[in-house]
Amino acid sequence: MNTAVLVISRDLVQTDDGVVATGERVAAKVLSALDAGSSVAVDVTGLRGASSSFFNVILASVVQKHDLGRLLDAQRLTFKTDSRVQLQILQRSIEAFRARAQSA
Amino acid sequence: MRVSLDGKLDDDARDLERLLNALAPIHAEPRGATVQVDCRRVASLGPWAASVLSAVCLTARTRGQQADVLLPEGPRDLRDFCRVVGLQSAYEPGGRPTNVDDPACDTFPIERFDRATWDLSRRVVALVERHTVLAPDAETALQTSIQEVIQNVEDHSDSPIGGVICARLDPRLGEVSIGVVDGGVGIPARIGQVFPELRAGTAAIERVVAGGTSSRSRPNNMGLGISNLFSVVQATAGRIVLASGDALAQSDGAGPTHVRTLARAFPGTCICFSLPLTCSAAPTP
Repeated sequence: MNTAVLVISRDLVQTDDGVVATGERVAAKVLSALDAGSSVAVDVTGLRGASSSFFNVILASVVQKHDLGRLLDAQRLTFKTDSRVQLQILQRSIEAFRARAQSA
Repeated sequence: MRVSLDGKLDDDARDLERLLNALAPIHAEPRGATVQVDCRRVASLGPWAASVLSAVCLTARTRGQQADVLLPEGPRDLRDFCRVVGLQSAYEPGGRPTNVDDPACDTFPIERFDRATWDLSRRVVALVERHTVLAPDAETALQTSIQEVIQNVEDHSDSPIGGVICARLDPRLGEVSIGVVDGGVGIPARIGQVFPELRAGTAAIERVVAGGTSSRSRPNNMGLGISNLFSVVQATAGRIVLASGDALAQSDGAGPTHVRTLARAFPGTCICFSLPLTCSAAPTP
């Protein structure tokens, strides 16, 4: 079994950036790993303020080339959070992208 | 024209609604008009009202109007708050309130922003952390709430002033109050560009609070920001008021959200909320 590529989001934060710009950097690393056939673990621990826009950028980039639902169900794409708020924000974004994919 | 205010303008839904209604005549004034908000008889004022007053005056100035606030003449702590929050200097070029760097300062002065940076939300949290140690969930709730609001301004408002934010920590109540106001097109108008049937009344506000309705200002928008904000505030038993266009949404404590029509429309978007702080430890003296 391949070891998942670990993307540590807080290492990609530049203070003057917005969350979208940081999300785009995370998304690029996630996509690179997925395209190479690897599994990806996105670590968002310590990233206070990761709003829906942050997660939406990452998920949107994934769905452009991959089946998000299959990746999540197969645990090829996982997220590590450290607070209930963060997990709730993430889950709502995931649900929205899943719902959009199903209605397409 | 002059709008005269009196009484309380606390971080309270009724006070905020009264303020928005009182300021409504300003929005109809023609270019070049002189508008003045007379707060000399105001008895108390918090960051919610401060952010609204600042945004309304700043927006008026973008319409070529001369806009000014006559500051309260009441209790000293009220006058001190107005000075520290920068109610006057917020729209005087080069003005800067005093005492900002004082470790005892519990106020995040009025600040204009165009971009929803990590730095902005982080600095508001840092203000709170001068006075208390936040539990991780409380810190996340606070910073995420701020980030959702300011991102909403950046993505959707088309505001000529960007947004205005200010905050104050009340150690006695153990809560932080935050006001974020923009002078943009307003949520009903923005949503109405994609869903014309939602342009009037309370429908647009109801939909954004429920989540899932987006103007798609950015291609990745899923219409979750405002809904997430309400969820976080309600989960912490905080208070929140959103006013935009001719509707207002309000939630107190962990109760349901109530949406009603404003007596007089607010042309931008005003999102004000207060979060109780779950402290993990008292600050080290």
